[in-house]
This record gives sequence, structure tokens and C-alpha cells, in this order.
Amino acid sequence: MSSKKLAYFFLFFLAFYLISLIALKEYYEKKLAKLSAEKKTLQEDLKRQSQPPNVSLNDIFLLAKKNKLVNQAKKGQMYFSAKTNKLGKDEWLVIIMLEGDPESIADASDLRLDLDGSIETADLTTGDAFPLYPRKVTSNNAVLITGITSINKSNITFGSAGKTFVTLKVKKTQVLKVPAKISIDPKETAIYLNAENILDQTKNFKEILLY
Amino acid sequence: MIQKRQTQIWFLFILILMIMLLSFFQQTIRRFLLKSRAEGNELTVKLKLQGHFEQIQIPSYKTKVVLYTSEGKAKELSDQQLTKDAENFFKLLVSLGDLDLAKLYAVFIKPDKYVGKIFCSSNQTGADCKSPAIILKPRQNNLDLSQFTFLSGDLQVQDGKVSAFDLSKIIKDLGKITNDYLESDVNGDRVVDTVDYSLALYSLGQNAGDDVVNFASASASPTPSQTISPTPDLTVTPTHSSQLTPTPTSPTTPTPTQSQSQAGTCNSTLNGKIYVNAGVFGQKCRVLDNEQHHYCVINQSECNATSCLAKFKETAKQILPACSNGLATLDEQKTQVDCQTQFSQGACTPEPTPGCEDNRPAC
Repeated sequence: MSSKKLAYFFLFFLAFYLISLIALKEYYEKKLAKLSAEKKTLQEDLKRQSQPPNVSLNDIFLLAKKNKLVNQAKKGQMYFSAKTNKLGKDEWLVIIMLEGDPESIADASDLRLDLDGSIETADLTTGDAFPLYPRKVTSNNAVLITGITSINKSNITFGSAGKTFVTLKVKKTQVLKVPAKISIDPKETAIYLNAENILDQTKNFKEILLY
Repeated sequence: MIQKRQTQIWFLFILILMIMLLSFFQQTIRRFLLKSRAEGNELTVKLKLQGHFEQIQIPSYKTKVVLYTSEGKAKELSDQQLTKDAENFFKLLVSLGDLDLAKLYAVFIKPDKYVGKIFCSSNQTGADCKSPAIILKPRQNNLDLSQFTFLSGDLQVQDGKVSAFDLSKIIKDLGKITNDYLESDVNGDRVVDTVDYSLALYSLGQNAGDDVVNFASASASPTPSQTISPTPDLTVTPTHSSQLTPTPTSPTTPTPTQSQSQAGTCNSTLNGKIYVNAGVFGQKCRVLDNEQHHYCVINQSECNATSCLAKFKETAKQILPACSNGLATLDEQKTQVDCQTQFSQGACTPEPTPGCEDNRPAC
């Protein structure tokens, strides 16, 4: 190859080398900046992680109160009982009570009732067994009610026994020769304390017959 | 000869130059060459989760992702990482592998501690999702589902619904702190508190459960069988606001009898900062800003800044451990409170004993 050609070749490569150097420099500078930002975020996260979690005094008071109530309460099972009052020819009042030792508590409960096709729920009123009933769902053939412990700042109120859980007004939609039936769904019915099911299935009512 | 020598030198020079260039480019070449082979087909999903995550470090949730066609389940992936992005949305990166891109898809997403949702497109979810309509292309796919919020509360073992059991778990774990995974820590802020309770309570009130998947023989996670004409009385009871009102410090000073003519009421105005040591929860600082109190005194001389301060500290030292089961105590050394008093003669009604409530603003 002649010197001239080699020289051109060299100049071409030199130019190519310089351009790529500039381009790569920019690329890596951007990458470094991105990595620095990422490093900063991770460092901040690590710093936050090393600090104690953000718990307010109210939460601390709440915890103390909760532990006190749970420790003082009698540990025992609870169950649902039911009684009915006939209001009219085809209308009944069904009162479901939360039963158990008066000193026992519950923190949450689901009650699911299945209605046979001949009756429907006309009205539903929650009781005072629990301070809060966030879920009350009715359909043509089922009722689902959930009672929950209430928490307000540093105050906590559990569910307690010997009180009404729910009152239902049901009425007949079909005239049948057999009594109408409301049965409890054992799989979806539970009473909880400390995430343990304390429902006494042996004492829990199984069904209600409406004559 | 000289020319030949020259040629050799040039050749060597260019060779060295080429080697230098290659070394600079090797990363770029590697990225370019390997990119098309290794990257494959991917789906990036943007989601919104119920909760506030601005102050929470690196929350991430293991997520189940199921892809459906009209014939049924096409691909199921578990333990996909759902991580928070800079805008406080969450991002999920799913490798599609050898999925048939000629078909239309629906995607079911179920993060840990949350209920699952099915999407037929970026704006069809739940009951509106009747037929898969997501088109997947080769390489990169982006799906923005952030207009829909995933509701929380379906804790381990996930059963597809938020129920009393989930709330009971949270109530049981209230106050627990962790640097690891804790199922009842819904928002991943390392503590189980009233925020987690509120999040799950809201979902319960909405009767939240996994979406039903109705394509062919597909069935997603079980859905709660209830609801139809719900009578939701959605009551959130947000509980906890770290907004506070002062917990007055009323000493249990006996009421001065009216027969002592010099007795009266010592009205005090408190300003300053109170520091509370709260064990593993660190130290809390609260501001006293023109806080008004009063206590009964036998004579005017008892109504002064020194006794006022002493009574304030005495009450705080009694109330704090009593309300926190011994966890919280007053840091007397750091606490700086200024007391202005004013005596008024006459009958005095003692201030009621304060409850266990923190209503003062943080420092």
C-alpha cells in the first residue's frame, strides 16, 4: 500500500476514533449520572430502613390498650343463637345474638345465612355485638354480615358476647306447605380472636325454621 | 527498503488503533449483538395499588400473573416482582417467553396482600372484561392499567377475598414492626398499624374479591360467592390521624374547699416541646403551642411557673407509661416547656383526667 493511501487510511481511522470517543464519552456520562441518581435513591432508602418505622404515640397507646383488653378478656368460644318473632302472616323478625362468656371478646366475625327460595330479606339492622359492621350484603338467597373491632386513634373496641349481632326482617315470597328455612353457612361463618376461629360449632345454631 | 519499513510502521500503528477502538466499542457491540437474542418478548405493566407509598422505602410485592386467551389459560407466572416506580405507581415486568403473539390476551394480576383483577384491555376490567383483547407484539409491550386501583386486604393464605379473618390478622399483629416480610403489613412500611387496618377495612366494606374469569374453561382464583344487591354500608373509620389534640395534663390535685378563701384556680399557658422516649419506636417530639390548662390551688403562692411545670411533668410521667404499658416515658432532660400562670380566686373545678390520646402536633 502506498504511503499516501496509508495516510488517508490513518486519517480516516483517526477521525472515526475521535468521533466515537466523543459519542462514547457522552453515553457513559449519561449512564454515570443515571447510576449516581440510582445510588442516591438506594442510599436514602437504606437510611430510611435503618431508622425506626414511623409509629405515632396514638399507635403506641392503641397497642397498649389492645394488649390490655386481650389479656384481661376471658379466653373462650362464642357462637350465634337465633330467635324469631312472627310479625304477620308471612313476615318474621329474626334476631341473631352473639353468645358466649360475658367477659370474652372477639375482634372480627363473618356470618353467612342462606335463605331458601321462598323467603327474602326485607330489612337488616345490625346490632351492638360489634361496634362496626363494614359489610352487609344481601341477595335473593344469602345474607353476609361482617362485624369488626373498631379503632379510632388510640381507642379500640372489641366485639362482645351477650348482644345482638343482627336483626333481619324476612318475608315470604312463595307460599309453600313446608316451613321456610334459613340456614347458616358453616364454611363462611366464623368468629375470630387473634386470627383464631373461636366459633363453637356445637352450640352454634344450624338453621331457623319459619312457620 | 525504507518504504517497506514505513509501510510496516503504518500498518502496526493502524492495528494498534483498531485494537484500541474495539476495546472502547466492545460493550456497545455486546449490547447490540446480544440484545435481540436475550431480551425476548416482554410485557411491562403499570399498576396502581391502594395505599400511600411516598414515604415507604422500596415496597415490592410478589405477584401472580396469568395470561388468558378465549380458549382458556395460556401462561401462568408466579412470584413476579411488582416494584414501586418514581411516580409512586407500581411496575411489573413479565417475560412472555414463547407465547403465541398472534392471539388476543387477557391478563389476570394478583399481587400479594391484594385482590386480583382481570384485564381484557387497558380500560376493561372486572365484569366489563368479557373477551380478551390485548394485542402483544414482539419485544417490548407496555400496558398502563393505572386508572384502576387494586384493593388490599387479601392476606396469606390468599383466598381471593377480604374477610373477617384478614382483619383479625391485622388486629392481632397491630404494633408489630419488622425489617422482613410480615403478611399483615399491607402497605410495606415495616409496621402493622391503623393504616393497614384502614386499608383492609375499606376493601372489606367494598366486599372486595378476585375478579371472576369467564373465558372458556378458565377460572381464576375463587371469588366470594356473595353479593348481588349489596347493601354496603361502607364505613371506613379511618381511625388514625396522626393529627392530634393535646392530651391535657391535669394533675389529680384535690379540689380546694370553698371555705378556704384564698383557694382558687391556677390557669396556665404552656409553650415549648415535649420529648417522649418510645422504646423501639424511637423518640417522639410534640409541640405545645399556647396550651391552656388549669389546676386547683389552695392559695395564690402555689400558682407559679415552677409548680406549674412540676405538675405538668408529674402528669406526663404518670400518663405516658400508663397509656403505653410502660413503653413510652418522658425525656425530662430534653423537654423544654415554659409555663405562664394566672391565678383566679374562687371555686375551682379540676381539669378532667386526660385520656390516652396524642393530639399535639409533631415538632
